[in-house]
Amino acid sequence: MTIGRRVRAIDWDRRTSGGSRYVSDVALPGILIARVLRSPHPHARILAIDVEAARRLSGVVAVLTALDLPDLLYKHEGGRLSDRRPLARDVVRFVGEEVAVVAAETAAQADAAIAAIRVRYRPLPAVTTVAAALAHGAPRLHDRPSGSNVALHIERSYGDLAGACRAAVTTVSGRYRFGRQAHACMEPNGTLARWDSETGRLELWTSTQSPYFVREEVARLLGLALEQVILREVSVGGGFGAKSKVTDHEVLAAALAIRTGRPVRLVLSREEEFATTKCRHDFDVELQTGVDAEGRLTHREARILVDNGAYNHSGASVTGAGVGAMASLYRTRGAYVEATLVDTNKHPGGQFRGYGGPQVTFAIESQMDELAARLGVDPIDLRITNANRPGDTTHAGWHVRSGQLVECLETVRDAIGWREKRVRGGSGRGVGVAVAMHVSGARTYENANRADAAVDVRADGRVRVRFGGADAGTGQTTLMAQVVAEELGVHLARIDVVTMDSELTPFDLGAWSSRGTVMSAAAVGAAARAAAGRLRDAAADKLGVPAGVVSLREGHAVAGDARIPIEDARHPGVGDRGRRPRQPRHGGRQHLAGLRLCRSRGRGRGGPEHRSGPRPPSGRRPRLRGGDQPRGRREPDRGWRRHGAGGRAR
Amino acid sequence: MNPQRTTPYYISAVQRATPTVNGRLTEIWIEPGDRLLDVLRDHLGLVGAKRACGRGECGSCTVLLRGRPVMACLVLAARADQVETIEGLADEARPLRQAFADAGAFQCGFCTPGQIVRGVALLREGLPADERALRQAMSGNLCRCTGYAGIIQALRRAAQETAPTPVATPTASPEGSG
Repeated sequence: MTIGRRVRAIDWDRRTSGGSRYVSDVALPGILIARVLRSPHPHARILAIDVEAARRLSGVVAVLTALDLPDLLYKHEGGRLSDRRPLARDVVRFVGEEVAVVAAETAAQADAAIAAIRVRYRPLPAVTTVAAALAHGAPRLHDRPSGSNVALHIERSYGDLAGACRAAVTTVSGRYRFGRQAHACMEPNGTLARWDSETGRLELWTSTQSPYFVREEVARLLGLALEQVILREVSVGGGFGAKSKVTDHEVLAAALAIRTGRPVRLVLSREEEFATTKCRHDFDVELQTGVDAEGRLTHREARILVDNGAYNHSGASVTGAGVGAMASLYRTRGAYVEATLVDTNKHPGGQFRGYGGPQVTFAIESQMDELAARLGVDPIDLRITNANRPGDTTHAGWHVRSGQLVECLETVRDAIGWREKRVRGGSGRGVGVAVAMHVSGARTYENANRADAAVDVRADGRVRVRFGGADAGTGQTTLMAQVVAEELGVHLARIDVVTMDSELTPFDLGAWSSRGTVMSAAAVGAAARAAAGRLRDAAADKLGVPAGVVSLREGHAVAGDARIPIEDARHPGVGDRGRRPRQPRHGGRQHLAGLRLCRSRGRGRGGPEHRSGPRPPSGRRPRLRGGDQPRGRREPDRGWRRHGAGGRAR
Repeated sequence: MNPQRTTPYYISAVQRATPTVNGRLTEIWIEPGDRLLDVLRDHLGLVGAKRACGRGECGSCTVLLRGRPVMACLVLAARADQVETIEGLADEARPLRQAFADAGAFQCGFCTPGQIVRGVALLREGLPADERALRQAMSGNLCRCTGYAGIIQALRRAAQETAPTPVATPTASPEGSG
């Protein structure tokens, strides 16, 4: 049994010994180094780009501008709201926007080429705050249907708002700001691309959470057939949402590789990471919550301003997810949520773990504490009174089938010594509790609810799992191996997991919307069960027993006293006789047709211990304490405690 | 915007150097401005030390120079005489690496070689018994995934396994020290 037990990551030896190969570590002969020329202006018209001097420099192999690429936009939000090119064509809209890209023999030569590109800009008036962008007569970034810098406006009323407002005896209002946040993955974003002109195939080693997403976008943006683009397996040094869709380097590296016919590596610097890659969207939330005489929430009214940055990317769906969370956390009788996504001349926001949730949760939970203080009730009691419970359907239509929020809060209360610590007071240290609600498996993209996987039982008795996602540090490789070990009764040490490689793995849209475990593991489980069934059948034939009595244990098919190794039970297959092309032997597919959002565990995040008042002289961040660590499995990405630490009230 | 862009242009002055890398005398041809990190990775193929911030902020490129942990991105190759990298330390560090795996002290693994190298240096001289001092000693190595509690816990475990006499255990629970 490996599920539910704490196991070492199956690749622990490689990961701890410097043996893992990240994009920067992959060795290929003749790699060129790429660099990006970026806009120095927040908003400007490009009048001319002169790359001739740069092209003539020693060691420079290629210089590309937008005119060298097909005139296509990154596809975001299903295409409807797409607005950004891989390289700026006529206008730059934020400092750091990609204008040109070069490939050279050495980094120094690439830097020299960047310095030699001459761009003539006509600076345009820029708007760098939401307020400025919404001001009358503000310069506009895009030609939006709104006729303004409003990229999206959502206005929703839920439930019996008027009645709920009348029932309120107390209301609390406030304004809560959750600023931008960088993912700050330890590994800088990067891509290594190689083009084979004879076969017309493009290979990519790229730091991503979603290989198949990247593949599709790169193929589309460069006018290639999907089959021409092959992703290769590579270690990924953190994601946190940053790499859950295509980002801004893959296409550029790929285009340079095609142009030069040489492998090209484009890895961002730490400065580029912070200054130019997509960040968490800044939310400015005006919130009012009402409560009736019994301490039950009556209504919630929210007006949310979301700073989109210069391009859409995930802005619309992050805003939508935030609206959903705003209408869903805790039971209310009515809710009104208005959200406005506003273009500004700053680097764009994008997907970031939590996806709009942390920003609105910060507002809701801050206000819950204020409400508790106003009412003179215990903040945890107020939360328990109003908790979402199993069977509830929230205003946003989220059906809570299972969830132990109340039990979670009660557990946290005891575990962190809530009552004892609360009464102490005056020490400058305290405890706090906040609740969050998160959905997984959003079906916002085609095939988002699909994951395929394959399991091979090989001649040497090893089992190979093939799934097309990636493991950015969240442990999917080990998780998939655990699932297969469980189903096939083999030891973890005999399981290999292949990820990402689009020649070896079947389709999987990757790790985003917290779908990695739900979708990919379910597909792997289905494949493993199919394989187990066939192994049992074949073993039953060989042992001359009914299939029903065969079980799989410790690498063997066992029936009573008789046992044969699983490799002897399997059908001759891949590679054994050199006859059959490579294909999934035991395929599994997870296709949740009718389900809009997958099951998500109701879970509170409890008990951050905060120092209030002035920042401690040591400059340390407040210590945060996880209140509900799941037992027996690795918490994927414990860094979440930091994710929540960016908000501030004002 | 890229720190490597500030590399000055100088007249090529390639010189020979013979550092000992992971116990082996190695011959390299370097220019005066070459960084140890680039030489290790690009010339010697030792890519366990990671290139991340390039200016001594994150510790992902930590190696031992004469036994002392340094950030290879801040060291001139010309001044590196005795170097140990994660590749050379992996065997000695096996108990620590296992403890990392058991304590959940790594996730994406990118910072891990640097953490292990610094951990080896600390284990050689004996871990500080004091929790705060140990954290201080590890503070040059950033980790984005784990929140550090597992790393500290793994170091303590490895120290217990390798030390002849018991080392003081941390007073705070691992979860509580996050």
